[in-house]
Amino acid sequence: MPPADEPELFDSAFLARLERVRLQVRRVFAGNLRADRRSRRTGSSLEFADYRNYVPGDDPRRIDWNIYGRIERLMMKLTEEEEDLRVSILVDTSASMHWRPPGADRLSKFDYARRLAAVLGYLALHGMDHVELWFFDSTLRGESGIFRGRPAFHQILRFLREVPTSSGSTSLEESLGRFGKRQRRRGLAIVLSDGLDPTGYERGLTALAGRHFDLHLIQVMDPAECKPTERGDLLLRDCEGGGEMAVTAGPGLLRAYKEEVERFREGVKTWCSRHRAGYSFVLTDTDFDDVVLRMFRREGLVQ
Amino acid sequence: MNFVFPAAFFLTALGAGIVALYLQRQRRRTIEVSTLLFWQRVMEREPHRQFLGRLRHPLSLLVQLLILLAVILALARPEPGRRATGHTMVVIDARARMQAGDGRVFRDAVKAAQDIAARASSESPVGILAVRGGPDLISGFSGDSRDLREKLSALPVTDAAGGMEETLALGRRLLESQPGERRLVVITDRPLETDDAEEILTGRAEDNAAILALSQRPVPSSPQSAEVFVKIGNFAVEASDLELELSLDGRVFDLQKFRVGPGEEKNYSLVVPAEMLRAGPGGLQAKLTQRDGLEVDNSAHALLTTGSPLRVLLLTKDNPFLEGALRADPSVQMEILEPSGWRPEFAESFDAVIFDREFPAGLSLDGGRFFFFGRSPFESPGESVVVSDPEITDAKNPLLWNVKSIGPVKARLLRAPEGWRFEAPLFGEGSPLVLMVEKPGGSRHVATAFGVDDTAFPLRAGFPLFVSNVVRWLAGREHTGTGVLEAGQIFHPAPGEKIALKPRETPTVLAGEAPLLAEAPVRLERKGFYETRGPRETRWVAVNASSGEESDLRKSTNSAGSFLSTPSAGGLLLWQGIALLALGLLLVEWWLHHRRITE
Repeated sequence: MPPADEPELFDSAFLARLERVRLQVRRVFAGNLRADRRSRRTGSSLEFADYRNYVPGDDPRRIDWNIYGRIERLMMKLTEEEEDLRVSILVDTSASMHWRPPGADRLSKFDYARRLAAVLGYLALHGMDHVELWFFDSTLRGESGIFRGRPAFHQILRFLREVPTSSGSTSLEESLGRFGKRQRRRGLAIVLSDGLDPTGYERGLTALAGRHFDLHLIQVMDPAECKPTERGDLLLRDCEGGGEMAVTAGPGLLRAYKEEVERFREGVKTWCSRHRAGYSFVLTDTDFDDVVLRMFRREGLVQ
Repeated sequence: MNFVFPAAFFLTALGAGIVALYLQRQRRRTIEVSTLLFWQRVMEREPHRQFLGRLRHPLSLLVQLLILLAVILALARPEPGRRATGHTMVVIDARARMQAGDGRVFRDAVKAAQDIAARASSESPVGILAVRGGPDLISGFSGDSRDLREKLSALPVTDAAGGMEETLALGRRLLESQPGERRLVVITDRPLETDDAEEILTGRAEDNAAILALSQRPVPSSPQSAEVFVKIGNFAVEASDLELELSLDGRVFDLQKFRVGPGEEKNYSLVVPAEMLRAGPGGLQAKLTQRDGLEVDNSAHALLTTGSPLRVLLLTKDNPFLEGALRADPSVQMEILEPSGWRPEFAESFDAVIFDREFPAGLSLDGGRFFFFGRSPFESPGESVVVSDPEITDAKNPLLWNVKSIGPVKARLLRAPEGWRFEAPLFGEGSPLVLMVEKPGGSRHVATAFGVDDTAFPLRAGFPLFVSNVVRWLAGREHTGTGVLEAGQIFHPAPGEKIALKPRETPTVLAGEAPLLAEAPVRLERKGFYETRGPRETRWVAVNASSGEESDLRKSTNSAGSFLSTPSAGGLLLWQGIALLALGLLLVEWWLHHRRITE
């Protein structure tokens, strides 16, 4: 994956800007290790959680002596426990993600998604969270294992560079369903995909949202997919082997096509909103800084 | 809507071919896309796009079908309006005033007539009459539009004046004999006062000045000099300064300026002295020098009496009246001889021979020009009768020019010889008092039924004029009234005489030139000098186009640019407009094609 570990793409200035950015989750999950995330457990952080009566065996350092002075009862001051978060980043590696319009010199959707995955992994490591990455197409293809701590960033990059062989087609239902079943620990699930599953995206995403993952879908698309410019008598061939189709692309048909893409995008967005999932739409010609520092912040993925 | 060539609609079958070509499977560019999902959804949502997609470029197909339709329509030559199924008689005005506007008025008239002729067919034949002084049948009813148009193209305009009624009447008569629907279409420059004819008006009101009359006559006191009379008129809306130029045999000898008010006329006369007439043939031309609406009436021609003296032989024992009358005419060179001294060969040496009261026995009338005064070979047996009031039967007869009456006479009976053409301008008691006989070949004779002893006529002032008139007629130099004919009049050549078919600007014959000559009566349609050749000499006839009715262009009008037979827009016929539309559509299709291959 040359683009992801090229130094200029993650130069010091960009990384410095990422220092002030953290991944944000809507829900509170239970972690294994102490970290920066709020937990359902009470612990030793400075964040106040509650009071309870003292029982023998409690740490006498946590007795609130001010309350004892007022009411002469021993009360224990409880604070929140800060724990780590499981961040799962799933990258679509189907053939449609590798598609690029002829003659275009911009990144493919997959390369763009890999970059985003690397950045998101970096942010998770920076927040002392557990990070794991998955590739998928018609099923789950590769699992990175769990990374923790900043030094693991290079392992993330290495994983992203070694893309498994893709079967070509996309099945969100199969891939994400299988992922949901395998994951015992809930956490933040970030799906990077174009969502172009001929059988529909709903079942796959439901498999995650229904298992109480904090789901965030990043839909990556190429501008040429949204606004095609090819005109004339065309034989369209699906890059995922979905067959061929003859069309005569004129202004009317292209206009109808753009409306259909927009309708599809609005449908995905509405679905995410209804299922309390996060949604980001990214075009591959969008400036990377804008996506990470503005768009993701605006859409609640980072803070 | 009618179509000149409806067979062109068979070409509409080509439209099916064009559609078939558009439905044909064509080689498409193969393009790999990330998904067909959206395309399939579009087709499911808008199934009509699948058919339009099969049609490839529906706009191009539409444009090409329109091009084909426009080409077929243009070939079919559509013509709005009802289709004439009956006979159409076109009367085209070819009179002098149609030359107005440097010929534009007549050209428009011919064009309008050709447009009508273009629609001629066997079901709707078209005939053509021209008004050129009188009716002239250019073509009978014919369905051959090409032949009709060619005849119209060759139709010349004339300098003739005259009315149109005679031609319209002929047109009506020709139509009446035809079955079915009948149309009479008149193409002229001003409205007609008739209800049964469709009018196509091509004229335009213009200012014009004209020479309305040019005539001459010998000065009675000096017949070798000529008195010239000119009348000019101004047919403009404002007063004009007109310049009149008079020239004789091509040399200008007088120039006059006149201020003439709108609608006014001015007369001008002068005497051309005999000295000026001895040099040339006597061709007089009057000319208005300024340009105006009609060029043809700005000049006029006349012939002044000139030439060598008339040689006259008088055979008499003693007749002071005859001698005195002949001596009074300066143009007569007279010799007197005793009747016994007559020799037949004298007849060839004199322009006229006068036999006073007797004539030689066995005199041959052939080849001579004799004036029998008193006794003649044309007398018939019978008693003389006294005629108290002789009747002038032809006041315009050249023998009676300026002769009002001769008084009572005692006359013998005269009878014209058989085989001779004769006239009797003076009659009394059922018998001619003066007999003119003529025979092809140049023989002319005059006989009186009375002699010097039978009448007091020799004592009258008209007697010398009568004698002079007789001598001039015998010599072929009679006074012909004003000496000028109007264009459009028919000229009847004398026996043995021929007339040229084309006029000249001056009465001179160029060396080596052989004009076309006609012996039959000819309508002289163009103004100028016409040469006539008789058995013994050459004469000239002057023809003018002098008519106030023709020159007054103030009454001219037009059909506001729309001929009844030629509906057009912007100067284009309907089929031409459709052809232009086809060309425009072709450009659009070319542009669409260019856009397809470049984008």
